[in-house]
Amino acid sequence: MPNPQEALKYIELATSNSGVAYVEGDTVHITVPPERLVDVADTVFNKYNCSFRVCAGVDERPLNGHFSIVHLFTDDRAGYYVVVKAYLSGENPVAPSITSVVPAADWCEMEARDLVGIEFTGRDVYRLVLPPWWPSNLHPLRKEVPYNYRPQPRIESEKLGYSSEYGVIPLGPYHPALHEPEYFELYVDGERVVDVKYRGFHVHRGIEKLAESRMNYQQINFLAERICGICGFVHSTCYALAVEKAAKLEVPERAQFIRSIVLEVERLHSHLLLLGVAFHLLGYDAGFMHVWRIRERIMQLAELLTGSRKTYGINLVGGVRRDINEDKKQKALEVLRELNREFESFIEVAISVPQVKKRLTGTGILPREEAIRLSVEGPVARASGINKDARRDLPYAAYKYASFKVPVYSEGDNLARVLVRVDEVFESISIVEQLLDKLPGGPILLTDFEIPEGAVGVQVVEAPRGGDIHYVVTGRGTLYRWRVRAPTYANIPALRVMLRNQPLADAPITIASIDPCFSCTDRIIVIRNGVAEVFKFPPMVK
Amino acid sequence: MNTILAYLLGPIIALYVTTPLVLDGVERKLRAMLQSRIGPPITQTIYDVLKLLLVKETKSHPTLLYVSLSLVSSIITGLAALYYTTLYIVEGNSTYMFYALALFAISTSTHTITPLLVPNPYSFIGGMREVILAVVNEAALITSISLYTIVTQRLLVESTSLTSLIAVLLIAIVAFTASYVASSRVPFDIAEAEPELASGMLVEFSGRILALNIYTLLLKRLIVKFLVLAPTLTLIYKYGLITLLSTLILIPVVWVIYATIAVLLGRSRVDVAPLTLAKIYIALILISITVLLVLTHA
Repeated sequence: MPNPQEALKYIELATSNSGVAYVEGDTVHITVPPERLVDVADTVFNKYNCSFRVCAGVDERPLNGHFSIVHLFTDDRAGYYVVVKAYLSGENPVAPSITSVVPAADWCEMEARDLVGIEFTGRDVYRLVLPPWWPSNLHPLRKEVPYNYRPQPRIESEKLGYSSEYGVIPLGPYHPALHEPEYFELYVDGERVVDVKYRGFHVHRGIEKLAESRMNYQQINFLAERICGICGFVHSTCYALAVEKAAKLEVPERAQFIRSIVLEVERLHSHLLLLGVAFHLLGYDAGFMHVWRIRERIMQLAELLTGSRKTYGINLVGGVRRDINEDKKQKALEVLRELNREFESFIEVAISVPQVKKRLTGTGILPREEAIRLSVEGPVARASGINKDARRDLPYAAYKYASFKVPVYSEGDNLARVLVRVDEVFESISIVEQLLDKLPGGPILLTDFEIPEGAVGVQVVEAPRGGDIHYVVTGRGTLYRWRVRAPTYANIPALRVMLRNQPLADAPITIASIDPCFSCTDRIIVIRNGVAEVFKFPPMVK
Repeated sequence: MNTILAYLLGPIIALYVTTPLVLDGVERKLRAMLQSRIGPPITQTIYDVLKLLLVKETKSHPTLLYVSLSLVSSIITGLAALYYTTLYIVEGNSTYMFYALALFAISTSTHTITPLLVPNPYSFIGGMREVILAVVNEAALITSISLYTIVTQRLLVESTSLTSLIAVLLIAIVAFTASYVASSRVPFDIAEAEPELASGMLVEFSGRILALNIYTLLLKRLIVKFLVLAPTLTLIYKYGLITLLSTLILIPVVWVIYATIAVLLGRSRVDVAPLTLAKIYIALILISITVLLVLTHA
C-alpha cells in the first residue's frame, strides 16, 4: 500500500481548486469544477510528473443527471492512481480540453466526443472512432442508445490527403507489412519519409457497450480476454483486478500468483513473437524462424498451465479457475531452463547480424522529451529513458513477491526497443521461476462475495506493450461503465515522431518496434447480413 | 565449333533451361533445413512455375504485353549469353566471353527496367531501387569479369608470380561479390522483398508474367555463376570439355554456398547497399589494375 503522506498534495490540490478529494486504497479520487480541470491536470502531469493514462466520458444522467469526464493519471513513484473527475451538464455536456497541458489526452477526448457526446473547448475537434456516415447526434455509449443499433453505412475513400510536393506511399489498411487493419499514409521525398498520417479504429468492436448492456460480471472476463489475440490475459486480469478493487475483495494469494505466472508466460510469447516479426521485416528470416521455434515451447507451456495455447479463459472476478499442481510446476521449470539456454545462445547471434544491427541502430528515434509529452507506454517508454513499469510501481497480483530488473535504455531507437524486450524475456523467465518456487497453498477462487453498486475501480496491468488500463464503475449485476485502453493506443501517436526523416525502408520495422496491437486499440466491427464489413473513412486525423 | 560440343549442344541448352528451377528447389530445401523447417520438396519451384504458366489471364492490359515481351527477350538473351560462355570454356576464344558479357548486360538491363513499365508506385520505387543497385553492380560485374578473363588468359601463357596471383585474387573477389549481388539474394533483394513496397517490382505481376519473372531471375542467377566460374576453371583446367563439365559440377556447389550466405544475413537498404558496394568495388578494382600495370611495366 502506498504512503498516505504522498496523497496529501493531491487533497490540497483539490481543495485549492474548489474541489473535493478522498483516498481509497491506492486511488486518490479528485472532483473539481470543469473550469478548474486544466489547472489541475497541468499540476498533476507537469508539476507532480504523473503519467497520463487515459480519459473517459461517463453518462451519469440516470444516476445524478450529469455527464462526467474522468482523467486517469498514475503517480508511479508514490504508487497512487489519481482520478480527476468533473461533472458536466446533462443537457449540453462541454468540458475544457486538457490537451494544451497534456498532449496525450488528444485521442481519448475525441473518443469521449464520438461515443459519449461530450464537446471539448480549446482544441481542434475531429472524428476519431466513429465512421463519417455515423449520425452526428448519435453517441453509442449514451445510456438511451441500444447496443444493437446499426445505422446504414456508406463506403468512402481511405485517402487522408494529397501532397503535390511529395510522393504518397499508402501503407494499409491491408498490407503485407501490417498484420492488422490500419492505415498509414507516408509522404516521401525520394526514399525519405517527410511526414505521416494515421487512421485506425477500423475494427472498433463496441465491446464496452456490449458488456454494459447484456453481460454479468463473470461473463465480462471472457469478453475482456477477447480484446486481444496476443495479450488477452492482460485484459481479463486487468478487468478482474479493477472490479475486485472496486468491490474491495480479498482474492486468495495463490490465485494472484497464478495470474502473475500466466501474465509472464503471455509476455514471453508476445515478446518472442515480436522479435520474430522484427527479424522478418529486416529480411533475416532465419532469425524469424528460429525465434518462433523457441517460442513454441512457451505456447506448449501455456497449454500445460491453462489448457489453452492462447485465450486461456482462467480468470474470474475473485480468482482463477485452474490450479497449478506439483507435476505442472516441475515441467514448467524444466521448460523455462531450456528456453533460457536456447534464447540466450540464439539472441547473441541474431542481434549481431550486420544488417539487423545497422538497420535497428539510430532509426525510428523517439526522444525522451517526446516520450514524456506523449505519455507512451511500456518498452517504447523504457527505450526512451523513462523508467516506469506498473509491475514495480503499482504492484498488483503477486509481483511484490518477485525480484526483477526493469530494463531502461536511453537511445530511443529501434534497437533500444528490441533490447528492452530481449532483457525482459530473461526477467520474465526469472519471475516465473521465482513465483513457481514460492507458490503458496490455499484456495484459488473467492466464491462468496457481493459487488456493490456505484463503486469505482481503476487498474493498470503491465502488458507486453505497456500499461493496459481498465476503469470500471459498478452497476446492478453488471458494469455501469467500462473503459478499456490498450497500450498501443498511447504509443501510436509517437509513430509520427519516429517515422519523420527516416528511410522509407525502415518504416515497417519502426512501426513494428512499438509492437502495435491495433485490434486491441480499436475495440466496432459492423455486421450486416452476417458479414463483417470494413469501411473506408474520409480524412479525419490531423 | 568443337564437334563433340555440336552434338552436346541440345542437351546442354536443355540443361541450362531446367537447372535454375531445380537449383532453386535445392536452395529452398537448404534454407528450410537451416531454419529448422521441413520446407517444400526440391521440385516445388518447377510445380510453382508450371502452375503459374497454366493460370488463365483474366485481365489484359497493354502494359502487360510490353512486360511479357521484355521478360521473354531477357530470357532469350540470357540463354544466348550462356551459349557463348560455353563456347568460351570449350574453345578458349575470349571474344566469346565478351559476347557473353554483352548479351548478359542486355538481358539484365531488360529485366531491370521491366518494373518501370508498370504504372504502380510500389513497382516504380522497387524498379528504381533495382536500377540504382544495377548501375553500381553490373558495371563492377562486367568490368571484373572482363579483367578476370584477360588476366587468366595471360596467366595461362606466362609464368605466375605472387604479385600476379594477388591481382587475380582481388579481381576474383570483386567478380564473385558482384555475381552474388546480381543474384538478388539477401541482403541485396531490396527491389522486390522490402515489405513497405508490398513486393515492389512484383506487385502487379501474376500468372504467366509472374512465372516469366521468376524464371528470368533464376536464369540470371545461373548466368552470373557461369560467368565467374568460367575464367576460374579455365585457370585450372585450361579450355575444353573437362572444364565445361567441371563448371557444370561446380554450379550447384556455388549455388548452395550463395544460398547459405543469404540465410545468415538480413536485408540491406537502398541508401546503404549501393554506396558500400561502390566503395569496395572501386578500391579493389583500382588496386588490381595498379598491380597489373606494375606487372606489365616490370
